[in-house]
Amino acid sequence: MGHEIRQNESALVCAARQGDKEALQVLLRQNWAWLKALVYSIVCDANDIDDVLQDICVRLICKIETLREPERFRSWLAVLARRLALQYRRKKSQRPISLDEELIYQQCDDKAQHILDNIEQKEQYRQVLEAINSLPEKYRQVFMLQYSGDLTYGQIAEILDIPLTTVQIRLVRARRMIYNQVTGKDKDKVVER
Amino acid sequence: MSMTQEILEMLIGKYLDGEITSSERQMLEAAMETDPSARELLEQLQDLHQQSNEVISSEVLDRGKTAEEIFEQAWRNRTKNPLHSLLRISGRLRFAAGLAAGLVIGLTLHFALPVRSVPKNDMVPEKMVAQSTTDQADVEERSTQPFPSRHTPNVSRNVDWYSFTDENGDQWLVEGLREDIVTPVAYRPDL
Repeated sequence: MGHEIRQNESALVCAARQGDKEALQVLLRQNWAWLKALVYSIVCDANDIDDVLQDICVRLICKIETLREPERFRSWLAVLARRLALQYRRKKSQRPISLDEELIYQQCDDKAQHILDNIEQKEQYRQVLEAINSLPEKYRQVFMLQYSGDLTYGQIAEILDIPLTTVQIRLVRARRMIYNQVTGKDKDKVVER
Repeated sequence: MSMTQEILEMLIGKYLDGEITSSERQMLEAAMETDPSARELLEQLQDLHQQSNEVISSEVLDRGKTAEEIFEQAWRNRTKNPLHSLLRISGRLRFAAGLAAGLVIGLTLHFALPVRSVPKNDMVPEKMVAQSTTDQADVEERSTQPFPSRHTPNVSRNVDWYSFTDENGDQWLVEGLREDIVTPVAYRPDL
């Protein structure tokens, strides 16, 4: 099953390299969820995701023809996405936040508030999200990819270009750090290595 | 944190993520039976797992534009740039274009730039030679300096030629003497 998907993806990449717009669209749709999660793990702000994804799409369209190994499409796309997300984060950190932006953030928060009916649940969500955002980046990336959909540990390892055991260990530690922060057990915090 | 605790958490994590093998599952079940705190940890991590799923779905994955919307916008932005469509040529064509450009530049430089070479000894001009055409007065002034030439009797000299660019960008071919001028001893009746 996984092998078939990979073959299909390689064929799509070959078609996309020839300028096939539909193939590119399918590729993007298939990898959309984890791409979004990966971008979030770097910018840590849901309001910025669309801007970064837009940059990634433009770059993907322009650069797909330079990809020499179609079977490595996912890790190639992840490198592209990480680089652009880091650039965005760097630029954003140098830019003062305008009043308009603060208003937008407030509106988004308000919108989220309407979605979540239960106050207690909202508080729990906020705590979990804060704990995720406070993870060291390498743990946050693995954690976000794990919860972005139905990726296996093997696929996460392939995307991030790290060994499978590293994925397992980072996930365990990420969970422990989030658990400690949410439950207030910081003294038992796992030391980042 | 003990190693056992980390292994237990790894097994629970694999169980929650659907990655646990049958032997690992047996190990986890055995731990649950013998250790009540292991069961408690499983329940707490299960809650956290569910909350993480929900919060990431609602706050990240379900927000913003769809893949199609962003792709279409990116596609339009990409076609707005005419330079890209010009540059979007295949690798071989690009290589051929680079080769042709290099050839044209090389030929242009070959024919446009004046040829300068070091003359052989028997072709050495008698006086300093200037290649610049812009400062003839200076050349003439220098050429009036009394240099010993190869026609001067009893004088031998070694000559090198140097290329020199002045501050105006003019290039000069300069005769450099190593000043090994040797005048053989001669009878001087006035001494």
